[in-house]
Amino acid sequence: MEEGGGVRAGCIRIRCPSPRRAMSRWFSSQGKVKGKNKSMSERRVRDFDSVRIRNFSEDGHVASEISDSPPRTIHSEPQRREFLFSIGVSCYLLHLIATGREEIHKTVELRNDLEKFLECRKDELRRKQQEFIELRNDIERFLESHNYELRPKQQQVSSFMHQEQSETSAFSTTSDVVDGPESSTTDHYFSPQFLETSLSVGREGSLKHYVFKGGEEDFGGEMDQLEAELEAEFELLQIGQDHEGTSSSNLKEVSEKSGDSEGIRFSRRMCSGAMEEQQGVCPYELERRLHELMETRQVEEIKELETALEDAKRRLHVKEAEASWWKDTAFIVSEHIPEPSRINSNAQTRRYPLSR
Amino acid sequence: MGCYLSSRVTKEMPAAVVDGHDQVTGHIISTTIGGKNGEPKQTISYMAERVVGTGSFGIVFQAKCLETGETVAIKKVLQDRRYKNRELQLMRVMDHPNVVCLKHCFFSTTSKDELFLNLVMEYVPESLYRVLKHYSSANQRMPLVYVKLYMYQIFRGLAYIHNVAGVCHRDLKPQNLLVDPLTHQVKICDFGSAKQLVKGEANISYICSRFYRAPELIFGATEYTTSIDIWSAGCVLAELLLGQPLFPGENAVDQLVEIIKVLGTPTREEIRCMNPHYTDFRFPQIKAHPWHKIFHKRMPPEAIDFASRLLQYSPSLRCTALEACAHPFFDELREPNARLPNGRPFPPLFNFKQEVAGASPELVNKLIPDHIKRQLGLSFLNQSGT
Repeated sequence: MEEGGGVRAGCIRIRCPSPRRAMSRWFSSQGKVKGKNKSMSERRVRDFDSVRIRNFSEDGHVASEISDSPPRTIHSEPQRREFLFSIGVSCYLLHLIATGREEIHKTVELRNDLEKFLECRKDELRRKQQEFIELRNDIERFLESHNYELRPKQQQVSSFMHQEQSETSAFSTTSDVVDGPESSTTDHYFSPQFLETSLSVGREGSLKHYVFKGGEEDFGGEMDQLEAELEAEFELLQIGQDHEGTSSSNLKEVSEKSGDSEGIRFSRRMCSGAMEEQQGVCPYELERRLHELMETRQVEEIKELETALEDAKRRLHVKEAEASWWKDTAFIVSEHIPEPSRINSNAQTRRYPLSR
Repeated sequence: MGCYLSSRVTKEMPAAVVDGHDQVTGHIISTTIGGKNGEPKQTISYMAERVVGTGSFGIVFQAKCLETGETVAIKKVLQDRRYKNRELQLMRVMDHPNVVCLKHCFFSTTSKDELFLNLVMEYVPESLYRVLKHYSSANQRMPLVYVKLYMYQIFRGLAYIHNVAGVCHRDLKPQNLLVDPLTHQVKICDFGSAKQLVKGEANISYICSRFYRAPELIFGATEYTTSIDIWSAGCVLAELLLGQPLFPGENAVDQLVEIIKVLGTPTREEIRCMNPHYTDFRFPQIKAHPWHKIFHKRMPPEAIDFASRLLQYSPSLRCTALEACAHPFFDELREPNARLPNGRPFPPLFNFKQEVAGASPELVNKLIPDHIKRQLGLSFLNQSGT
């Protein structure tokens, strides 16, 4: 057992006396008790002096016995009891100390574990922050390079972003960064708030908030959820764009492939409103319009075909009616033909009505 | 032909500075010419009569020369003191029966210390735009002979502008094609957008009026050729035949969609020819509308063929102005006894000079009808053949 028994760990500093020290203290206190007894006996000796003086003449031995043994026999019983009590107390104390020490050790271990856990969390958060930054950059790049194309959708995307942001604010404890849902009325196309929010989650300062909020498990879950949502949104944007125009990705490729600023400049300036007039039409707009034209033409074609079908049906009905009329006429005529010359035809005409 | 001489005279005339007035109509503008090299000074006064056109460039007003009684058109444009006026520079060298003739020019100032350049040009009372409007308001189509006559002269004028002056007009449209209602002579005017195109040099793509813009301009091409004028002329031809613009787009994209409706989606190669920047885009494939379905049933096949040769996506596939003049569509004009519906003769159509220089003998042979060859004699043929 170490001297003092105090454990130095972090900010907590606890002094715990070792059982030996406790025992020694106890024994020293016993000595003190003995001394006390001695002085008491001395006092008693002094008290008995007069008796001794008185009895001195009778027997010097007796006097000496009086001064030594008779007081011990008188005070030994309470002393023993006291001693036993003290031993009991000390044993209890020892037990208490041992359990206390165990508790303390457990606490220290727990603390160490907690520290390790926090360290892990920190690392994870840092990694996630990095991912967020990358994701944000991706989105930013994506938006920047296609802002002209998305301009008509600006409101929509913006509101989407802000919706995301307000959702994010529920997870974020650093509410000072988040402006709140009312800020969604302002038109932030690149949604800086949204990006800031995602950053604030991974900030060093925010760690404490999360840790001491206690919901560590939940926090991790929320982070994953947030990340997943971000990625989903990014994908959604890409899909939407791809859906809008398959060539949009081509453009990106082109500008990346060409590498020079010319390609990027070209792609950026192409659909920027007034510039379009000077730099050529926006290919996406043209593509959209051509799709519309195609649709219109197909609708027209369908209508034409339907009309033709209707017409054909109508003519078929007319022909069928005509055919049946001819059949009826033929039947009536055959009925009224008086004795045809040929047997063959006669047989046929007779059989005909039967067959009907 | 009178324009030849008068323009040559005006070329030597110095631009005189006169006190102009903000209000045009009813004012008399006096300017002095000559006075150099011992020539006597001569005062010319113009009485402004009416404004015949306005635009971002300035105004055009009809005026009468008080000395000669001649009616002129004066185009008054704000002059930037730092630069030469390109229109003036180009018009100084133009000399062709189908190009409006510059007679004189002078500067004028206003009280605001603004400097104006006044281009005095021959006055032609009508424009093809107004003629077209006249027919469409009467719910009629322009008689084919006039279409041929006007278009032929437009291409002749273009052949001169392109081949001789080396200039691209860049704003060909019915409003800029003047028509003399009596002689039916056509003159190309307004060289405010015109430019001498140099191969390999970039030019702005935002030129030309919307309905008449070549697809490469809509695609933002900067290295285009004089074939953009051919496209515009093709649009004018279609408009004369149809009675309305063939590609009436409300904006650039709309304009291109209108073109695609007729010609179909351009192929990758055609896009490359117009603007290589767009080759990476895959546009929906729209089928071309057959040319014969665009015009009415009785439209002669040569007219349809001619339109299709002018309105090509690939600029290099459009025929040249001179080739256009030789197209069978204009054969009627080359007939020996061809005349105007009122029995009057056509305006001069075959007095080629510089514009046929460099053309192949076959082409020159096609361009000059036999009866004209006989009139001129074989000597002309030999000359042009070389």
